[in-house]
Amino acid sequence: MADLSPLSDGTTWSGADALNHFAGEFNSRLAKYKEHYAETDSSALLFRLGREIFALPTAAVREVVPPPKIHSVPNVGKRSILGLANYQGELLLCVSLPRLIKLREERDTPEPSHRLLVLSWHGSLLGCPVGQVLGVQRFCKRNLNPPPEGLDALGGLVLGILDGEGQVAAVLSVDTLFASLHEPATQTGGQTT
Amino acid sequence: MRSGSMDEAGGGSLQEMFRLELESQCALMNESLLALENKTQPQQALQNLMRAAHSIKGVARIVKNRSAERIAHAMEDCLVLAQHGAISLGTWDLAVLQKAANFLTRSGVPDGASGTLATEVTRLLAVLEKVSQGEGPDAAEVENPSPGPIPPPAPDPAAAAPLAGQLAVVPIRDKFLRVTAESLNRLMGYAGDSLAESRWLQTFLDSMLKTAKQQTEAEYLLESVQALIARTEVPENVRAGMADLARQLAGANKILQNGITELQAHERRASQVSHRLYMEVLRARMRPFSDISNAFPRMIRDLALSLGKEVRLEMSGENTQVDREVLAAIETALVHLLRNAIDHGCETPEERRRAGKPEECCVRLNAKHKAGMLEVSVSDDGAGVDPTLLRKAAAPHLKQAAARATDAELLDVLLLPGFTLKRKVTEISGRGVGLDLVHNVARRLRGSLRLENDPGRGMRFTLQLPLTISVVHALTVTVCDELYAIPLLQAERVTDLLPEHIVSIQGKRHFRAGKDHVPLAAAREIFNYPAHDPQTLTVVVLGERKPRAGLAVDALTGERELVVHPLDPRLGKIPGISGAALMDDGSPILIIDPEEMIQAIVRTRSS
Repeated sequence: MADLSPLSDGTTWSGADALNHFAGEFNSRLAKYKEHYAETDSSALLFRLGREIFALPTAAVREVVPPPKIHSVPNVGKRSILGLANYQGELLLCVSLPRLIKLREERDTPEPSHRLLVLSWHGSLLGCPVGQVLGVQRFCKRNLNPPPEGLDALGGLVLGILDGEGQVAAVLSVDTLFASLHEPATQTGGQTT
Repeated sequence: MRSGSMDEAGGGSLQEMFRLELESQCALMNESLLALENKTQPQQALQNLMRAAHSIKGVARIVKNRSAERIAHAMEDCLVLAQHGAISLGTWDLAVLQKAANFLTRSGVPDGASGTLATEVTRLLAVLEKVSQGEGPDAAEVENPSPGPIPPPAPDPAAAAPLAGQLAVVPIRDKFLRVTAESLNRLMGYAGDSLAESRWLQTFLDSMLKTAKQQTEAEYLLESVQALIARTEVPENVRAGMADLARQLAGANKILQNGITELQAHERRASQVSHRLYMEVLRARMRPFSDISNAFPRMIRDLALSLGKEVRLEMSGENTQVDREVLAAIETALVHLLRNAIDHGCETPEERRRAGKPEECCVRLNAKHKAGMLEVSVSDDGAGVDPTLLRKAAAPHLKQAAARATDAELLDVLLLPGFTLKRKVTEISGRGVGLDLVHNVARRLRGSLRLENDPGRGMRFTLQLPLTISVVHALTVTVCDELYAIPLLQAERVTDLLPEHIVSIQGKRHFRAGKDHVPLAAAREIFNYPAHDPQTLTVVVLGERKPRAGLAVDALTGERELVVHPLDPRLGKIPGISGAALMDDGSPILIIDPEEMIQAIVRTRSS
């Protein structure tokens, strides 16, 4: 992330001295940033789900919007499907990331509802309610840590762990996310006969 | 309008279709010629070229463009020979073919100066002949091998200035543009969105009006306080202060009132514009009925001939505008009805003569808008259905004694899958599939099929369909604080039931609707949502025909015309739900499938 610390420690500068100092500071930071930037080949959007931080490739995020009303769909086979919402005059399918990632199956944990990520992948759209959106971070795919043992049991949903300046984020795979919706339901809706 | 030649009916639009076909086939030709030059996949390129030339020849013949037809034919000859290896296409030969393709590209516009046209055609034909003979170019032609740049596609005739000369420019009624279905759907989404946004203004205005009312009341209160003050001993500054207050309030109220008036005018304009946009997008999906009916006269003629009957087809309402999806959906159904009319309905000329009828049977196809719906009817003056024969054949299919069945119930039997009056199956009919299919189409489009039988004199089938299947007129209800829509056509009525109205029959809850006991179930139960136990049940009676069923919902909220969106395919098939829509305020609403719901209700056992 960018170094946002103040350029001055409170000392007052004036005239040519000021210009020299700030120019020097600026150039050294620019150099550091360029160095960092040159090493990165990917970019991801970080967001919270509950207390944990996750990330999705920025290229897949079409828009971040305020959370809309989601109409549930009765008897839909997959628990991860939340329902349909209005997005630009069309009906957007919304899924629950916590349920897909199987984040501690507590029935009482409320769905995140701070923002809605509208994801776009190969022409189809998907909506995911998330908590606070933290911003975009650039990284190098090589530098991703492999997911810890238990987490990878999700079958490719977690690409890796991003360790960036004190924040640990699990980077999710958009491919797997979208593909999981085409799989047959594991639980039936249970219709009375 | 009588069934005349296809040209008369089509006229301008046929020419336009020729131009479009030419555009796409010539593009293919140019592509393939390039491939042949570069020697990439020559066999495939040759095949494509042949297909393109053949297609152009076909359409050119239909619009009676002789020169295009002859050139395309000559090209085809060369290509066939090349395919069989009788000749090989060298650089010069390909150049000639390119010249011919260029000519065809330009032939979309009727050419006024027929003199030069004829010369050009003769020259081209001669050169193509040489190619087919495997002769090389003359010395003169070698000097000018290049056919020139590929000309742009034939310009829009509507934009071209009228040409002096023998040919008059055919006036084009319908300008075609290519728009993807997806694009139209998105436009529809945005139009719906803008309509919803403009509706919000109305709500806002209402709250502003309330504010204005409160301010007016405040003004009155102030007046009465001022009146009180006038009668008491009050310091002058207080009196003055009150006067100031009154002035301020009056001023503020005036600004508010002006604002409201302007906002009202704006809201009217905004909702008018978005409504017009919306309707226009809906209309963009409309096509004339003639899109499918143009093919019928020919079909009728061939069919009548093969069955040894004399049939005259009379069509009316070819220009009736119909949603393209509805049109596509009813095409097969209409074909069935027409074939049925000729096969079952129309008698042989001999039989008709004996019955004192004219030998020629008349089949009428009519399409029109009626009461906001599309009405299509197929009628014939044939023999109709013999009621005694029908009663006998229907007996095994009826739940009660055939003798007691009404005429309407007997006719309904004709619609049952597998039922047929024919004793033997022919190529045309008799398998008992046709009418069942027509009925299904009507049901699927949320419409209806009506049969009228006049024994000895004829039969009429009337399809009543929504003008556009993208819009459904529905009742809106709530279940667990979420909105659901029930198509009005299949919602017979809404009734409030008290516990004493509900009886248990065979373990299922029923209630009395008219003369029958109708099964009942709660939407919450069918949707597997948490149950609730209210004093009165709000029940919507589903089904315009038997079997009927009652669906208990939380509350009835109104009725609406909704634009139907298909369910996201990733949801899979949701039992009981046929689609989704968006309300005025943008809230999503699911559309219930009444048929499936009735089946689900009939299957549930009371808890």
